Amino acid sequence: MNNPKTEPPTEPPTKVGNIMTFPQKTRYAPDTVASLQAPAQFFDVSDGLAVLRQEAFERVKAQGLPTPKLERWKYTPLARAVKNIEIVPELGGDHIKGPMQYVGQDHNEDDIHALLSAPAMGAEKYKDMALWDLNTAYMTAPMVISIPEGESVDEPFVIDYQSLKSSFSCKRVIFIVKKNASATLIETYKGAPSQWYNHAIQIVVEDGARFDHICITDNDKDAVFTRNVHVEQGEKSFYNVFYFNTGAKLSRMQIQADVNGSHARCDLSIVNMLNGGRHSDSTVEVCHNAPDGQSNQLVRTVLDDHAQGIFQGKVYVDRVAQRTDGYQLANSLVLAEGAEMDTKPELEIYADDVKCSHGSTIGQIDEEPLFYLRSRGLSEEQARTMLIEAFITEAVDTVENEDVRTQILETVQNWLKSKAEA
Amino acid sequence: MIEIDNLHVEIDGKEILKGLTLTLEPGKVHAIMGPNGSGKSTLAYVLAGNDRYEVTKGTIKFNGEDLLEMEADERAAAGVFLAFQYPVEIPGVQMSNFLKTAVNAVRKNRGEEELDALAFLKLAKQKMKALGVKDDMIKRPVNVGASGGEKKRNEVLQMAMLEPKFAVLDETDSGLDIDALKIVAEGVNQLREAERTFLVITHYQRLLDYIKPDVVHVLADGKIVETGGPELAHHLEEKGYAGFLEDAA
Repeated sequence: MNNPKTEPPTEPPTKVGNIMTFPQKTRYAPDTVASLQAPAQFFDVSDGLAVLRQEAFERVKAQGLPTPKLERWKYTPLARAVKNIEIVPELGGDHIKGPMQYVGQDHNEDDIHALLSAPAMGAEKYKDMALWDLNTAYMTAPMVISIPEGESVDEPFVIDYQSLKSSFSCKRVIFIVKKNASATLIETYKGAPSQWYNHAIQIVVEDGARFDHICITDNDKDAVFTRNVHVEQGEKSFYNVFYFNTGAKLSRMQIQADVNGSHARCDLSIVNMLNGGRHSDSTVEVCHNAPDGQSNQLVRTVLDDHAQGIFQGKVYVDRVAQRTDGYQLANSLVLAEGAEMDTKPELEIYADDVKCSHGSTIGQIDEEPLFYLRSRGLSEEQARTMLIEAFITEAVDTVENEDVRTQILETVQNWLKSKAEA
Repeated sequence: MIEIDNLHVEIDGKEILKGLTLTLEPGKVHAIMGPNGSGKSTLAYVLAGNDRYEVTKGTIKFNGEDLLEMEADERAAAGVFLAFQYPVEIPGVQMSNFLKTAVNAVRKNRGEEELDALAFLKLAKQKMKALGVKDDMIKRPVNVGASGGEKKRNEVLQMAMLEPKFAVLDETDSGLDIDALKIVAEGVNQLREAERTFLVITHYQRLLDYIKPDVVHVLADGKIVETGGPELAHHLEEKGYAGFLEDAA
């Protein structure tokens, strides 16, 4: 409840023409990070990032974290959720397995520096600056994986965040797939002890390259999870990403893909399975900045108990992005009366020759198939479980790697089992 | 033995069955014929345990047990089977997974040993062959993209796998061409045996040329208005239901 005594003074909105403008202040909560201590040890390191870190730190400290008064954060009260978390620099190294010869090799320092500074340059495409800044200020050495031109790396890279030890974790990963190369990255979060993850991933998929990206997130129910991903795609490139997420106390996955080359394709599938008081916010923006692009978004969310799911999905089509084919579908299955799903599909189109469609449904388990299954002898629990699995199958099937699909289905089974036992 | 006594059933506050009384003998094939809207499908759903239908009065005894007290899956385990008029499409559920779960749920309830994947597949393949069901059907999602004939054949396959004591066939002939009808009827005939009771619900005489009933009942306006031998079906084919509707009204 609002307590007038502790509320900061609010400036009245101003009206310009028919548009009401609210003062910036109320959209951020500087007090949440007012006591931030500078990660001084990082500022003296001679890795060329000191200035970057310092500036990022000053910005986030001055502005604070976004509050639900900011449209993009309407359903995700971040500032409140992280109030009592101690923000101290993280220790510990990388947790990557796979073809290590590509890790930390074959990249141009200037390119990396440019990428690291891109969010700080205030580039408009990097949304949620506060989180990028916080990551930049507190990140340990960024992990850089770079696939040289024309190389197809079959063995997937696996980053497992399970062994993180600090209360506040700021990992930065940069993955570059150069021209006509291909690679797969699998990231897993599984009940790691951090109270707040604020991870940032930057991905570059150059002309003709392909990148398969899988992220399985099964966090502790008390964790705060914020993850910002930015993808840049070249001509005829293909970025294919799958997310499986069981939510957290607060979970915000922000994915922005800039499709900058023509004839490129961006596919994104998200499966959320949320129970208890878990929260999961998937905020996705695919920007078609070049012609003849294709994008597909498929989101399936299952909600139980009093969980809350959010999907904010946007397809942006620039004036030059003629013949774009954009598709977005978000289906939600609500199993309990106390659960809540908020979906906000958006199309922003400036080109005149495009094919864009979106759909969104929120429903319960259908009575008809349920009765059909039960009339064949399946118990109510068995029938429901089967229909819940069926609901997410289409999205899970977009994962081509069989081992990973098995791993996902196991997580699904555990989720369903814990539901049955509850 | 199935004994239905003075059954009254409502859906959405509207009474459909208005005092239906019917006894079905073990090992016999009973046919129920009746005009549209007489309550044929309602009877089928009530027997299978669909709780959208509210039984306001009357009883159904299945081998002496109170059927109305049982949930749909308990009825299936006890040996009740409904072949749906409109089999439900279930995207994302593979037929083999569904059928194996169903068979084992029923077996478990009957105190029989569950089938492992291999034994199940062997049994399924054998039954599918007998019914002319294509091999790949078992790998497809339940009824998705199947033709009317394939769906009905699929229903009979499920029946053959579950080996019920009491099978209700709800307008299994609707939407079938004559060849599909023959195959489906043949499948049903193979399952006829001394302890198994069939209730064949149909609008037309046609199906009864292939599945020969022992007893024919006429359902009109929510009640059984006439019971007779197979010749009653022929009589209806010639004269229609008009006479019975007047009687019922």
